[in-house]
Amino acid sequence: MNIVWMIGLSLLFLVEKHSPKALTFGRVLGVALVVLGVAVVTQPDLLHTVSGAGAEGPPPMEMR
Amino acid sequence: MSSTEVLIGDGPDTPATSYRTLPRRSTLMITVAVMVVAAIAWFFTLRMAGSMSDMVNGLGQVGRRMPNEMGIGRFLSMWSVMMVAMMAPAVIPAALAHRLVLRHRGESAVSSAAFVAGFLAVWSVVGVVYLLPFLWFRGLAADAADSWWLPVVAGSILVVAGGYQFSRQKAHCQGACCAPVTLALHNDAGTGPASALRTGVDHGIHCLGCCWALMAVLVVAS
Repeated sequence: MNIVWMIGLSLLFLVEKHSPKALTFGRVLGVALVVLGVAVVTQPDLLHTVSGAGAEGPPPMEMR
Repeated sequence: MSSTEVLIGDGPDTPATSYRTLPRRSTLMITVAVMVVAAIAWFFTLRMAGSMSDMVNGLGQVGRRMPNEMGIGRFLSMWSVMMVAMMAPAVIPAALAHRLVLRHRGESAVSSAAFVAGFLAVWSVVGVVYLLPFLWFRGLAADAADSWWLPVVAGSILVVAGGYQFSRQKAHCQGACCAPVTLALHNDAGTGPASALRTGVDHGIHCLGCCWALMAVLVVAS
């Protein structure tokens, strides 16, 4: 669970449900998401950054 | 004179109107009650997030965190708590508008609570849909993180979510959500808590039509 994304989305929902310009606001968000989506496809490392997982590589294996 | 005009006068029906039309005490009580419920849900959400911080919870974390062994029941209950935390504050204008309709009929606060419960129940049930991608990506091998298709799937989800913001369906649902009194009257299922619950479910479905795409971002990021 990525708390930053959850809080961010909650705030966006809050604005969308309260703003008189909600539709315009939603479309601005739409453009941002499309840009982010294209960026993730063209720059795959960005995916890990977006999700807060970092790009440092897989976690170490546990010793058995 | 329309029913909406009877309730709010000849001004525009906006979320802000919902905060102004009821007596201040009722507005305050409903707002505080919903925010307290949201705060409790956030408390539990933050605790759960802390206990799962090293596990895969989104597509972007595949290969970077440990596999997530959470069971289906636990996922659905976590999802429900998370939805209460995230969506409860967003329902306040609708809850106030619905209260305005109930007040006109002399109904009790129980019906208002049933309305909010119905709304949140829709978002909880939606967890079943989000469960499917979760079951899929949590089982992916770590080397999937370096595959060509994982960023394509994740990026496509974001592009579809962004594209939906321009759809007619989004505009319709957004328009309905931004006219809460009209929507409360339109969805009004009748008197009593059971009817209020049904009205809440109808409102939740409108909200879902408005917000599902943004919520889909969680599949990628969280």
